[in-house]
Amino acid sequence: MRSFVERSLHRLDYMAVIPDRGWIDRVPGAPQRFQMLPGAAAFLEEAACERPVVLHGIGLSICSAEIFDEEYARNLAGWADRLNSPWISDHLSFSRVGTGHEVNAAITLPVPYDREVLDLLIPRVRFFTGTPGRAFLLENNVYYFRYPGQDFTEEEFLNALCRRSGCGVLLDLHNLYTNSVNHGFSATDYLNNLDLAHVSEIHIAGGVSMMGFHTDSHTGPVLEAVWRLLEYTVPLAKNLRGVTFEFHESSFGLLGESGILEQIDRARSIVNRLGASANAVSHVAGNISAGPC
Amino acid sequence: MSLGTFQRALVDLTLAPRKARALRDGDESALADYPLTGRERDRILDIVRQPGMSVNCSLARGNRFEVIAETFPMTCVLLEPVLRELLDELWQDYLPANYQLTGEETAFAAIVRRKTAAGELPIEYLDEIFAYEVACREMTQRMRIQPGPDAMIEAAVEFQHSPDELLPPLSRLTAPPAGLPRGSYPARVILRGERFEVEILPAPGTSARHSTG
Repeated sequence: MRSFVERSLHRLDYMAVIPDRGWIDRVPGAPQRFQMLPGAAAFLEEAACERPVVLHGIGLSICSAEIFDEEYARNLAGWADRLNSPWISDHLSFSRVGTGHEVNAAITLPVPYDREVLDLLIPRVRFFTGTPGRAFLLENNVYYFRYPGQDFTEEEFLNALCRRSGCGVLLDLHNLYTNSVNHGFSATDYLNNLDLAHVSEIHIAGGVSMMGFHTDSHTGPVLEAVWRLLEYTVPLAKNLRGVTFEFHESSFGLLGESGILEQIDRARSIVNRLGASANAVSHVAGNISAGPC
Repeated sequence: MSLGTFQRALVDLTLAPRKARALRDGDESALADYPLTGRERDRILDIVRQPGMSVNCSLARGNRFEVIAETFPMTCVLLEPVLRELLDELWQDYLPANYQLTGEETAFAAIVRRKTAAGELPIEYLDEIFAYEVACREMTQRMRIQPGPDAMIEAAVEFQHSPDELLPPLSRLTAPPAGLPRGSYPARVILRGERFEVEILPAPGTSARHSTG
């Protein structure tokens, strides 16, 4: 995988990575808690000399009511400084709970879109949005159950969060597709309700069926329905900076190098053909995702 | 903090599918330890009745198992007839403590070690393959923090059956043939970069051979 990325970096406009895969995280509060693996650090620093490297975290769990891990946040921001990353992103979800002894859900769980959660998030987002020149994005999460009686829809929640906190949206179109199929709503209506001016990055991916649900497995090529959503969204997202093809490393053999590059080239052609933003750069793969993301 | 309690209840149910099923079937004692508001309680009861809760539980188990299977793929092949029960037992007590799920493989190794020592896993080849993968894991961990693309790490492992017969099928995630002849096969496991090699140490009067890892 790494050799593929090294060989193909020139075909990419930026590279999105899950930095958590490249460090050892001892427990919160431990001395020298984070240890970046030398191979990963060297790889990222070399890549950052050639292309922008953006960081897509999986460990912040920003929606955990009992935990806001400032050590983790500082480490993430420190790596963004070191790599000169134009933006950082994480998920609008939680996986970490507990005080003192933490438990992890081993999957990202959605939060109810309530005022209480919105108020919880705003100061946390501001931790990241204070750095000039570097955006902080939150990704619409995939969810397999729905909370009854929420104060807001997801679109309303994201619009309010962006307006009040200054964060942007990482719009995962495969997550949106997955949710719309599993819960029977119109993805296009969702896009019409979301303020797409807040969207800085788009994720596209493939997935598989399991137990009667479509799942966000990041395996295989991008679904045709997701390509159609991309074509719909790109002209409307005036501040779009990039489109990222996400794939799980286990699907590397399934797609092959040429298959991965085909996805990127197709996404690039859509942005070039339909993109509204003069600043829009096109896309990259290399988002090697680990399970719960 | 009520939202925190609600999130804890949801995480606990995600990691304990039996508890979630019991709650779905009307046993509300599963919520006794969580002081929830009426709204939060109603939400939990609604969620456990949605089919998507089962998907969540399965995906969480899958993510946890992925970490184990990456480290102990051959051991998992040999354990296949009892693996589900073993994981149920493991995960009944052990909860993941961090987002990297790094404790899963350690907890799995501990339960396999305990059960093999107690003679509860009488599975052909298990002891030696487990020992081999424990050695590989230790080498991988050392290699991760050791700089340099040309780094090399070695470890000694003793097989009781020919690694030439055991390792090739297991590396393809298929069981090796049963009833291989027992013997003594001391071997040197070598990790170069990300690649393992197994050098079978020579019997008197012969030279070393390489097998796959």
